[in-house]
Amino acid sequence: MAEEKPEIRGKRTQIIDPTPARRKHLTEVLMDFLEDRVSLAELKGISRENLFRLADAGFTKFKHGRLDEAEKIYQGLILLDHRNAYFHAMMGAIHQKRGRPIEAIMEYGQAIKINKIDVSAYVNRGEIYLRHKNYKKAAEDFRNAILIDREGKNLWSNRARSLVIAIKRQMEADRSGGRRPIVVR
Amino acid sequence: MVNPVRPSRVQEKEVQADLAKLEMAEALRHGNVYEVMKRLPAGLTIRDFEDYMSDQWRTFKSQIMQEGSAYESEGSVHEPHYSDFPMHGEGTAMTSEEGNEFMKGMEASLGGSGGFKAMGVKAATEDEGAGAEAGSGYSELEGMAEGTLDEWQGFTDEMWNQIFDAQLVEDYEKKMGEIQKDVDRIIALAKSGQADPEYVLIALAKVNVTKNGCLMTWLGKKAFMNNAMMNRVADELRVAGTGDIGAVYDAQAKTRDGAFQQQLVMSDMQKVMQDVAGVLEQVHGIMGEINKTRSEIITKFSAR
Repeated sequence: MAEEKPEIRGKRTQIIDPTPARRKHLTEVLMDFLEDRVSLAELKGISRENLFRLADAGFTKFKHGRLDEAEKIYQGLILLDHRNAYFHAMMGAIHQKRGRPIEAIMEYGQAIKINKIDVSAYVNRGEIYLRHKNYKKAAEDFRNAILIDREGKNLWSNRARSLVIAIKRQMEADRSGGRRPIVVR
Repeated sequence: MVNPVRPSRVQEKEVQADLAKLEMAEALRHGNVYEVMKRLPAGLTIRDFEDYMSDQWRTFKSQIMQEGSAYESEGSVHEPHYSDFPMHGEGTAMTSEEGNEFMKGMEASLGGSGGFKAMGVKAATEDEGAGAEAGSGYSELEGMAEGTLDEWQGFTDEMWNQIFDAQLVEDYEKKMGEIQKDVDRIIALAKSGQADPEYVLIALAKVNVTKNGCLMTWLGKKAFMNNAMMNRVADELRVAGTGDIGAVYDAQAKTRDGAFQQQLVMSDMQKVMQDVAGVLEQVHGIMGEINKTRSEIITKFSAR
């Protein structure tokens, strides 16, 4: 017992409730975790507010181009709560900015899987497809983004609208044999 | 169900609004804005003119420049919002010892160290091998997350303090600037014999009360911050659970510190209030003294 003590990482002393009810509850929680119904943040008791603050700090770093730091923060956040679509969308954006299209597409895909109406994930993924001349998939993503916001109020949806025009121009340019760069910035 | 085929009737209000606009445009065409405002056409108010001109401004502006961007830039995501964070389940948190047991169990069941990895998509860069050990990576990330949170908390606390101090200075300067004019005027009147000296005393008492009022507001905000800090400690304790003795001790120490801070703020408040009460009492006494002297003079004069 004495040898095991240094291995314990936690700084605090806990009382483990030995009642069978607690054991049963813990087993259920762990089963939920294994079946993807509970996140590590929930198990660790990390509150939504703290996750939000971390995400906000990461977003600020991302916005100001400090991609390394933003990536570390969002890696941690995904580890803590892998069921949050926003974290995956942000991670996708970080990969996209760092020129890793495959990782970015996978993260956007994950974000869309969790949140079917994540407009920014659809548009960003569609744009990567468009830049790699996968017009069919790009058009599909832009279509979904436009259908989510029919009123034209969402800025990402509006980007999808302008990128649809870019697809048409690019396809025409490809047909005529010339190479025309995508100019929507 | 019969659908109406006739176009809807134009309401009188809409017609009147259009006519009023014409009237305003006509009035402004012939004269200076200030003169038109002085001699308003019948049925129109200054508010109508202001609305008309702000409408015109908006129309002209929208013709020249676009307000905000029409679409987002490449690879951008909106800033985090609370709605992006689903509510956590109740009672799912484990104590840290239970967590350690769980991690050990997971590592053992997945075939030793390195089996239990992050559930996110990680960039497979050359320098970052995918075989990093989960345990060390997890503790590193946990440490980083805690560090960032502490940093953030420290920053917000400091920021609030700075904001409160700046607000105190601004509030104080603004109020004193306003009151100074009144005081100067009253002193001038008193010197020229047009106002009684009591007015000067009242004005000076007002200066003191305003000054202390600013301090009181500042102290009130400090007390509010302390209260928020205590609430945060209670929330943290709720999340950790009362079975965690370490968390309980931690919360106890923080609460003690918060209570001490709150006591200091309260004693400062008391001091400020005592100062105000003292000044008012003093003014009251001096005024009584002036009145007494005045009545004595009158009595002695009338006795002669």
